[in-house]
Amino acid sequence: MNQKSHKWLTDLRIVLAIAWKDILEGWKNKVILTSVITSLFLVIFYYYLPDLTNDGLPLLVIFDPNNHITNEETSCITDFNHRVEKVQETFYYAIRDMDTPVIGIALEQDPLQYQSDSPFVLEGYYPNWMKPYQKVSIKTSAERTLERCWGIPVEIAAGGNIVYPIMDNNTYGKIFIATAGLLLQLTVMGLSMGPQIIVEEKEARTLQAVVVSPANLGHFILGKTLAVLFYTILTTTIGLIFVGSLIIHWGLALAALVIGMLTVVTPGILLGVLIQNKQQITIWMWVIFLPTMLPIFFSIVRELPAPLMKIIDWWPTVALARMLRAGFTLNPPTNTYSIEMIYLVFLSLLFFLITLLVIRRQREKGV
Amino acid sequence: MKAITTKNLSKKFGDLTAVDHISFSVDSGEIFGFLGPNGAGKTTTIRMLTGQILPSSGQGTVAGFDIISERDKLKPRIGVIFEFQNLYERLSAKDNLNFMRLLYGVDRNSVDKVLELVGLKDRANEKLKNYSNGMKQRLLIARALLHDPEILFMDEPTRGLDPVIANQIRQLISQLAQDGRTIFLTTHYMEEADRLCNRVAIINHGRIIALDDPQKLKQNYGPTLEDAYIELTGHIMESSVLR
Repeated sequence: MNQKSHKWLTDLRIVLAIAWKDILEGWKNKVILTSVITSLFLVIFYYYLPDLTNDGLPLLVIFDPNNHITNEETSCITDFNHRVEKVQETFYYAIRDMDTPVIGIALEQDPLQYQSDSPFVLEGYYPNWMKPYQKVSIKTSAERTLERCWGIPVEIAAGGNIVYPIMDNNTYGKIFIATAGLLLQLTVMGLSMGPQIIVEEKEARTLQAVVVSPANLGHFILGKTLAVLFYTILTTTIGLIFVGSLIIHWGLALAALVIGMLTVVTPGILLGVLIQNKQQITIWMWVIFLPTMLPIFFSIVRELPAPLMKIIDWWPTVALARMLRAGFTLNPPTNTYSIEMIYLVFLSLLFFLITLLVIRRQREKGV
Repeated sequence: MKAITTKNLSKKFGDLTAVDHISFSVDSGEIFGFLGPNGAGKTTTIRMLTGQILPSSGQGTVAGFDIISERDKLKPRIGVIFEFQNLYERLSAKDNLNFMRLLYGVDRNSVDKVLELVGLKDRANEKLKNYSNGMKQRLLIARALLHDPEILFMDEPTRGLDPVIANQIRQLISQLAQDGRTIFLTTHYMEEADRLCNRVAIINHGRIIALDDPQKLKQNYGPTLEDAYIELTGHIMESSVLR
């Protein structure tokens, strides 16, 4: 074996040893366990939030482009919240933006003009995330309600049409909730764990024992990065157990998650390199967390002036949220996530390079 | 053969000169005492010699390697026992040593070997929170010996330990020197330096003010090494105050 590959193997062994130690120690570290539990709680909470805030009545959306239906014909719908849409686009929006069970029906003719013994057949529309049993339940319930209301036998065609999420700034619903949960999870893990495990070693002065061994600060930082990535992957995997059923493009979703992890882990590591004690972590977490998360809400509300919105749309976490959404969307256009991917990879590399430069300066200074 | 050499070695932190042009050498197999009051520059010197910080000026070699340009080469040849117990408290003694073993790339048996040497083999799987100060100090020595280094830097290894444990540690230091290791020892305990060291350097305000074997220092400056130290530095020893 030549000297170069031996050096490479030695470097790898040292980096893995540091990562292994942190993974082993992480289970016994209350602060890290709290971060893991908090991040899991966020994704689970977000997943169940719609059910917790649901007022009990499901939604029935009626697509009536030809104005067949009158208020009188809908006032008797008491078992559902209902709305009538005249435009197909808004009809689809009404279904895809819901985070609780919803059924859409399309009216081809006036039900009160219907003259036949056979049932009045309607096309049913459901959001992609609804489970078969939910569809059957809401379909049966809607048929019963409309029969009672219109006085004719009603049948909503079995199977139905699936309404998929699209890439749009105004997308809410289950997909928004799932991506927001994952994003919060990534941010909490990436930004809190990195500084924590680095600063702990500075405070306990175990870092000095590491740097007098064959390990240098570069090994130390790479090992820490791997350990944070391990815990981030672990929590994200558990998070995916809850939201994985919503994913349409697994490849895109996984690529977005990996890039997302790098985007939040690298600044966390840089923060750990720069700060010296745990009190500073608390201060910096607030300084960083608010500008990290607030632009996401501004990007949804879209109330700020246009030039500011342009900046907000390219804020790293907003771009990351958009990129994550692509995996949950049917046929997302390439231009809605590809630039984001390149941009965030570039940003992660930039943070990593800055970290290496800081370490190099610290090594030269002999810190 | 020289294990350690320094020539006009200095370290400045801003305007403060912590170590001021010190020159000395340590022979292989020697126990070299490095004494001085708090803030005299002992720990800064150790940090320069172990590759933790770079000197501001001057030269030095450890195990034949330059302390500035060959830091990576000298590290596997030295073991360091710090003045504080910097161990991973959440891990067991064995896990602490296993981590270091992986960093140094030494085999698994070396962990058991050093645990046996410091008398901790039976309690190797216990978490460190159950360990006494003395046990932790022995574990620090085990960690420093794991990769069988030829030079050991010991920064106040018996500080804060009860007399029985401190005595055990001193016996261990003697044994390590008999095995042929070079030991660079800082201590505030003059009896310890007198008993263990082949030669002693006294540093004050960053400068070496005396360097000789303990017998000669006693002959020249006072009946005991402590008297000699007080005469040279004007400081009362920590051990005297405690008494």
